[in-house]
Amino acid sequence: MSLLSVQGLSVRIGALDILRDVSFEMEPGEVLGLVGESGSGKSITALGIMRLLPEVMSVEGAILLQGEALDKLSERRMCARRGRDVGMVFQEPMTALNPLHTIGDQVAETVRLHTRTGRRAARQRAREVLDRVGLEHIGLARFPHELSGGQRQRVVIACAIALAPKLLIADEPTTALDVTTQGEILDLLRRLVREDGMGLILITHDLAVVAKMADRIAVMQLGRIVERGLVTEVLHRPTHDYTRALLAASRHQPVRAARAEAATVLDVRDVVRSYPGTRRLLGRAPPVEAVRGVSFSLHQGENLGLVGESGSGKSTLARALLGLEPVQGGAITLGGQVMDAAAPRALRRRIGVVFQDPFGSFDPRWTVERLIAEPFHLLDNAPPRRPAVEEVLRSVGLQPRDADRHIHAFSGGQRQRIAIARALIIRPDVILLDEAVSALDVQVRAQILDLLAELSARFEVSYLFISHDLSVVRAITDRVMVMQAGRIVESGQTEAVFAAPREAYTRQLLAATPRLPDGIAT
Amino acid sequence: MLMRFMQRLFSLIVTLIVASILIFCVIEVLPGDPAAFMLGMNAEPEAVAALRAQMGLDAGLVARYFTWIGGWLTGDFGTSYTYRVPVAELIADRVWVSLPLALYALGLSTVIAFPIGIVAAMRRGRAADYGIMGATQLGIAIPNFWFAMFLVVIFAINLRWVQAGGFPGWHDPVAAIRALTLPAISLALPQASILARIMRSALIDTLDEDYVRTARAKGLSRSGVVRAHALRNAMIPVLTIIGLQFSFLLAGAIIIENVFYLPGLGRLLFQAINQRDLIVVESTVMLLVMAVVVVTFLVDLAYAIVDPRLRR
Repeated sequence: MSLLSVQGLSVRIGALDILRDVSFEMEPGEVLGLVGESGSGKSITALGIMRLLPEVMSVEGAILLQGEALDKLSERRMCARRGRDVGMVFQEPMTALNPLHTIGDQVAETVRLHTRTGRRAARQRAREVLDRVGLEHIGLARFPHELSGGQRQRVVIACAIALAPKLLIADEPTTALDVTTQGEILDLLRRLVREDGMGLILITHDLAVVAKMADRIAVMQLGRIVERGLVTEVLHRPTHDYTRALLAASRHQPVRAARAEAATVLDVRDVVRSYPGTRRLLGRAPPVEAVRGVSFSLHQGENLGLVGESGSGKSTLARALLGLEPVQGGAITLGGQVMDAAAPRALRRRIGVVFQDPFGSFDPRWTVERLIAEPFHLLDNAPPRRPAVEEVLRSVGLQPRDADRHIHAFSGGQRQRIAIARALIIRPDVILLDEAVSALDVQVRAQILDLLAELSARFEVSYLFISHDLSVVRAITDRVMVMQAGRIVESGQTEAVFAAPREAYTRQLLAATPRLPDGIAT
Repeated sequence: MLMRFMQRLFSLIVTLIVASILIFCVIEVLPGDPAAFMLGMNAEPEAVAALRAQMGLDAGLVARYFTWIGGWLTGDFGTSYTYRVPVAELIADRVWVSLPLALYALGLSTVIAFPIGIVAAMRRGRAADYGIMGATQLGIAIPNFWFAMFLVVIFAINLRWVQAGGFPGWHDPVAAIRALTLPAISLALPQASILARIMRSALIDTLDEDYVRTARAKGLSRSGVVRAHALRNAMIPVLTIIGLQFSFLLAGAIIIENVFYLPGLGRLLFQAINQRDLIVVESTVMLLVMAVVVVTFLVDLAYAIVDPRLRR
């Protein structure tokens, strides 16, 4: 008997089909990779199996877990299955734990809910489970906010596997984590599957993660499974066009012209950014140095990458470069002038920025025209607004009439195009791209990378491309810098650094990055 | 935690000192000489001057401020100009009406608001939610003195369950509580309505949080999630409002005290202002400020008990 059998699962909101006739089987100990772009129905499938979909959605179809029909159970009996027979891990570890309860209590809760275990025995069990997920050194009495993102994700996993469920569903469990932590969490999940013989549904948009982890794969598009099979077969011989398109986008490399050596536009010398220590009863803790003496220069039209894991100081450096924060040492010069927190508008207009979350960086009540023209306040003689906005909208592949719409009317990729238009409209020398494509689906990401390459060639604008995603940095940059604990530990031509990294840390980052196997069809 | 406690304690003391100076200065610039007022329109200037000297009004500003504060620290608030009794006694009598009334009303408000706020949040968008939201809208809109008179008509005049007004004193606790019941209900109605709405929206916000979904995935039922996870997370805004409501109830019951002829702090203050009994005004206002500041301090500490992220 198969472990899980989903038969004809369909989900609807009113007349809108979200999931159409999804069916698949899983054997015990098997890892199923569920891939597809956002909105393809991956998470809906997972929540449908858990029966945790919002009540406005109507659900049809059968879900059999070891022959037992979960879809027929009463809500009370279903509660007894969740956490005991089926566990689930979510994408966002920073918010997936209750901030007010200790991690020990949160793991013990799973045990106490489903078994007649006393408080003490449940804590004992929680300790064992936390040890198992690699948190031996973390006390039960710690609170989530005292832990890093990777540690929190281990706690969430501990909650899910405390009672050794038969099936574990992990919904983008590593998307919010940086590359080294992602590698560790994936290794942990694989070890748990092997040791407990449980089935794992791994939901991800990253084909490389599936290639590394899964036995079988199901590709979803628009609420349907369009292709399924063994990972090795599907990745090497995809039969569906959509799978082929996803694979092509995953390893997309924008075409970029070779560049001649050009003048320096941004020069950073020995920059130090430190924060005052936390206040104590008397005095303060020692200051925290987030950036410790960073030097580099960026040439006209150059694409420079900055990689490193979270907490390495990338974003702090970015804020200093934008003149949003003072530096405690060194100097930043932009086009020969000193950039600091007191920089004049005329200097600020020479550097633009695009952030990770396009939606969060726009005022939802403004029209796109007003949003894109916002940097005009940096200009003394702003050109007429409408023609300028229409021109830049065309440059980023949108329509002039989009200027009259509001931001909620656009998809994630279109929003990022609008963010790029906003940075581009005052023709800066440098655009800082802070994880600018990290939240995008692979196909959209490929399009945005093409757009960036084209704009760079056309307007001679330089990019500082900050990302924890090494494959993206490799595709788009000329040179790359690797940052660790506030310092740049390695830098050089991108291909040279990726092909033959000198530093152990760089090698470690590269090794942790999941890659599609060589020789697969595209 | 100790760090936070010390910080808050320090800011509490500074606030009280600043408040005492402000109160003192405002009372000083108020028009109307208490001595002249006490002696009437036709008093001789010499008599007024003599009385001023006797009352200590002729000393310098700074000296009088320190006399006042020194008195406060030793429990001597001076003597009322009009009643000729120690201010401390006057206030103490009134506190024993106003404080229990405020606590009674706050207790009622909380006991009513919590369950209906929780039910509205859990049944968001359904009939029960709309019904509760409509009722709380009404509860906020009805003026509480009108509601108080409505209660008097029903329960005191028609049903004769309680007295229409007055306060018998605490020597008969049952009678005292009966006397405070209608005022407490009238005070609690708008407060409960506000608190229920805050409870509902805070709980709806927390029910949308990721950790609620995690808890559901562990096998908690919908109501189990509210009990074990959502409720405590929703407490920060609710505690804030409870703190504000207590301060308001302590001093803001003037109208209700008048409707029910209760000898509370609000009426004392009202009468003292009319009679230019500034020494009573000064000390009553200072006491109310103290109550507000202390409650804020306690609410601040309660935040830290609820939320471990604030325990630093």
